Amino acid sequence: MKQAYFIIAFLFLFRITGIYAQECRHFHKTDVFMDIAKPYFDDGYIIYNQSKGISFLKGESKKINLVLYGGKDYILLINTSFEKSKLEYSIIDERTRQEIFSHKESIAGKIEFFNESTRKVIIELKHKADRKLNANEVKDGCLGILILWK
Amino acid sequence: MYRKTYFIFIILLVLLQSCIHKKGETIRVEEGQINNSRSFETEYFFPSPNEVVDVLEQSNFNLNPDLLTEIDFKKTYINNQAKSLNLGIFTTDLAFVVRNKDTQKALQYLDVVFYLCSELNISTIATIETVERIKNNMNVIDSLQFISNELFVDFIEILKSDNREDILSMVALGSYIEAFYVTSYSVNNYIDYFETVKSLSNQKIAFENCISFIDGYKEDENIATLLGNVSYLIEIYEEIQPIKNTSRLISNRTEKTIVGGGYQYIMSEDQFETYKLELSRLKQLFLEL
Repeated sequence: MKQAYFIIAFLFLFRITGIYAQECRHFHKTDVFMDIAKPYFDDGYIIYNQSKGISFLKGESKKINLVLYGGKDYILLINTSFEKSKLEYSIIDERTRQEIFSHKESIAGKIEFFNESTRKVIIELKHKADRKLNANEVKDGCLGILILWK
Repeated sequence: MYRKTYFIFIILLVLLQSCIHKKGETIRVEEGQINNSRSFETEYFFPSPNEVVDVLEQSNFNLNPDLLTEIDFKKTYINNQAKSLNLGIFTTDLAFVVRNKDTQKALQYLDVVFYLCSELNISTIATIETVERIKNNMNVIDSLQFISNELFVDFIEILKSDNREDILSMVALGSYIEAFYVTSYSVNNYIDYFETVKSLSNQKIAFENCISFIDGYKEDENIATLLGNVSYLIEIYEEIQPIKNTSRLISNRTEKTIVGGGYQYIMSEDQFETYKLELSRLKQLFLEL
């Protein structure tokens, strides 16, 4: 019987990451993002379906490759569920390798621009903790990218 | 002894499951930086079929509704590959008819989409009951537009969280092929519809990301076969010569930042004819599965 409990506990621990992944699915649609986005909806912007909420660890780096169509206005909103920590991110044209935008010390980001030609961009994100973290301080959280376009 | 073996087997099973769940993840500890930092391989995002259709439609071609896939409720789809590809095809057709404001046709396509979703055990946000309610609604086309927009986003979220990226890959491929097929065959003249040809050419970027995503699941036999099937289309897109834009990367007109530079892609007339023939072959292949 003891073994059965142990197995259940074990199974549960291994599913935690999966649960987080599910919890983050709608992070980019929470008030943190929507409060900023709302005024833009009246201006004709809609949500671009490459917007995503994904699980993210403190201190983690991520690379996301997405497609931006030419002749369109875009607004990118980037944020995490962590408090008092900074996000370092840059947006790079995949083909030319030119850096389009770069932010080093933001808690959250908003970028507004008109994109002339269809291109792939790589968003490189890195969470910067204010100090070196121990293993037990590394916690799961969420990263959200809300993209509006018109 | 038996209980011990059983226990070890369970642990191995759970470990294996957790490895599959974190596909593509690598662990990296950077010296002098944050302990336990994780690094992921690049994640590829690609536009939904609705967005592909939206962008293509802005090039002002006249949709030929005869090109949309005929609905045959008696048709049986023999396996998940056939179901997934056809789900992609019908999702795109739904996007086209909704934009064409053909309510009756849209409801029929929605029925097929839901039928294929249930065959594939995909529980979408909108159910058959929702559709029944929509039919009695005054703003049918608005509701259909909403469902059509949300469907693919729903597929992505549900199938990814269920680790069924193989199904998602096939749905995406079916939907892209249908969007390109219907648009290119609706255009009967290269010069008169040059903007549409340009728009289809620039879809190369979206298609590449879709393929990069699918490529991550090529260990699956069905996915590997499909990638083989579309290899000629990939080649056609690769052969389009990029034209460099001369504008500056960043400039400011009025208060808005303009991101310029980059490249654009334009198929030649011969390339466009080859492209159309290949799309026709692929659509036929997918329908006959």
